[in-house]
Amino acid sequence: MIVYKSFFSILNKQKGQVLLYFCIFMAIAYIIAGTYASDDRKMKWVKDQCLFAVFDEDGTVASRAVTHFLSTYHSRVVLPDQEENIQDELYEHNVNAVLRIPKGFGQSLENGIPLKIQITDIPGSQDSVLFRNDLSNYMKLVKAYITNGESISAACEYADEMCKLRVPVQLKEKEVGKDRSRLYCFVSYLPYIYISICISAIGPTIITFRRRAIMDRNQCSSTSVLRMNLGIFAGMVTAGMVILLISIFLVLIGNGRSFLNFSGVLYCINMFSFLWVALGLTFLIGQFTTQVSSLTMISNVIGLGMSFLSGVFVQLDQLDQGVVRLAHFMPMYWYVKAAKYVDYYQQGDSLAVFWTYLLIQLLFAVAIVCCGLAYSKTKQSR
Amino acid sequence: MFFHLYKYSLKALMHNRNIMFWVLIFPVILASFMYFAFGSQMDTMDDFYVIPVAIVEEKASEIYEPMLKYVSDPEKDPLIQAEWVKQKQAEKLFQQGKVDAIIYVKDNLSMTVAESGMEQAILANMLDSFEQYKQIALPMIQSNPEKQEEIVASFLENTDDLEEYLISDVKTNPAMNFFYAVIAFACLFASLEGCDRSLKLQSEDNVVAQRRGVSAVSRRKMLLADFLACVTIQYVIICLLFLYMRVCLRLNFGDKYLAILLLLLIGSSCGIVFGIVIGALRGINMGMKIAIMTSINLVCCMMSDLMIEGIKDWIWHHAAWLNRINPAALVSDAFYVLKVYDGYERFVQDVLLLGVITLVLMLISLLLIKEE
Repeated sequence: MIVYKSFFSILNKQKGQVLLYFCIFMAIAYIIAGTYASDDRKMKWVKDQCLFAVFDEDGTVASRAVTHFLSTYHSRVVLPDQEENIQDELYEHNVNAVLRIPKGFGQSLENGIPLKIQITDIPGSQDSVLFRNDLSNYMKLVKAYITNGESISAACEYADEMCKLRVPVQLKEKEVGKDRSRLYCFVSYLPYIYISICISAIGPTIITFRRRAIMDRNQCSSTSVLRMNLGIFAGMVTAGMVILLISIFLVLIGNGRSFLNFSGVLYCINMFSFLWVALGLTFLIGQFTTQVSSLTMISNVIGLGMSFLSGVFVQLDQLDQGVVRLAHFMPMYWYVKAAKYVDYYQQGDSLAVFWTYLLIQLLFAVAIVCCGLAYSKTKQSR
Repeated sequence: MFFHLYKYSLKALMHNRNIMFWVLIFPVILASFMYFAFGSQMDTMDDFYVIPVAIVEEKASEIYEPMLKYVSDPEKDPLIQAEWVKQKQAEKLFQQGKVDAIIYVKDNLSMTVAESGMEQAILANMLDSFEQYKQIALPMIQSNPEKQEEIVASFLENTDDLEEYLISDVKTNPAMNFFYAVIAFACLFASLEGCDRSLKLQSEDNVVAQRRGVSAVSRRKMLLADFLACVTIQYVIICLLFLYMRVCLRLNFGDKYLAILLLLLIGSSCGIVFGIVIGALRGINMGMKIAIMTSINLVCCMMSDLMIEGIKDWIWHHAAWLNRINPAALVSDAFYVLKVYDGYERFVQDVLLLGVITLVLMLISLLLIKEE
């Protein structure tokens, strides 16, 4: 019991670090969830829209009809007419296309040789293709009706009506898609937090126990080595469970009732299994290093490195295929896969894949701990 | 004497492994991980690619089939890459992720997609236009079936309605903000060096500071020597980082290298002076000073898109004054401006603001460092 209590008195000094990391987690999770979560889009087909701005120098029926048509199917943004401002907004993707309808556009359309609409966008991008196709399609219809003898206003009206024809689109879920729910946004960052907290907070405690002077003093005591190790192990597990409970509580605060269902339970099980990986890594690193100051460096390198390459900070579908193959050797990748699976889980789906991902994480944890034990044994025998 | 102080300050900094890690090794590791994650695809991230689709022809169509074949013709700038298959094969390809959609051709068109993305929107647009053209083209084809291809082509070929106007011919991607933020991070974390030297000059509970305090040399002279030593080391480090990102990671920062070197110098100086000010504060223990400094640095870097894209832009729109006093945002913006714009107006504005912040912090540090 004394070793167990000592463990926590040393750990108590790191509570500032633990608090800092949980604050970082909440801040990042809230921002990401607010920006990228798309709970609706998984359930029904929603056609993507472009953001566009228009500078109408013509002001005729035709130019206003073009603006009205584009506003119906895309989002209009108001921008000041300054090149620097337009360039900045295009760069930040606050606008995807900027149109300038020249003076005389309406008249030229009537004459059959329409003036060209000036477009500023990111050439070759997907937004550009979507927007240009929409606009070109509308112009073709308008010109076709004008060629057929209709007036400009009638041609624009018929073209508007024609553009209302829509092909039915069915949304059919694959096993896993690209969209992410708010809840997923919260839980997806936890691996980075677990690794950072475990290494930075629990790591110093393990290093303290392994210090030569302290180990020599402990060996003189009546407490057997086995009891000491059990005490340290129990301390690690208890600390890990406290971290898990705090993170579950924080996710509950951020998501409310959407966490209180079967998917929430699956997420908790996933978090629990990855926690063992984090604790295993802490144990392994505790065997290699003797300097507490180097733990922050190690935790950031391992935590950030795995997070970038395993789909935590950057979505898996945006990563290079080579990087994704490399990520298979990282336990965090399997956590992300499991979390993604739960995000798309529907009542009645098989959970065999989910349990497989969990098992892989636990195997990683066992392998990491075995490496730590082997290294410790080798060092002792020397 | 001054050179003596400068020399030993340099040596002391170079022997501090902790600081060397955070100002050199960590930014290199961070930039490398970012590059491996998405940097290699940055130039093509938003690019349009031909969309793979499966087409299930449940009923032959004299209007849809030529249209679909036209837009999938590899010789005519195709929009889609079509596989004409049976229903089961189409489902299999769809589930495997080899196609983005299944298009069903009957009396009318319909489509099945897995998500509401940009590729799916482009496909939906294309099919909507087919339905619209069908209303006009079908009577023409029925009366002149030998002119079917011609009629279809007249609706589908690209028309000359738009004129491209480029403000800048430089291809940019907002993902570069991450890399600008890494350099800003390296500049701000030079504050660790400044804080270290300041603690060894001012701190009540530091043995080195006490020894230096009883020497005959003016503390402000020592401070200046320390500052120059920090600037020397940090400038070399930041230039190495920039070189690594430019040459090894092949990130494009533009070709205004003299301006970039000036920016790196001022950015680093700003970070160092900030560290000196924090280190010179009295009544706060060392651990708390480091925590305050690290927290402020991380918040500044977070506000310049280090962790999440789009925050800097949001701040520009809602509280622009915040970006003007945030050194990380100024460094990041200066990099962006150098790459995209020909002129130097905005760059000079950013550098001047950085210079003013540096000067103000330097004055504060001189006031805080007192002779005893």
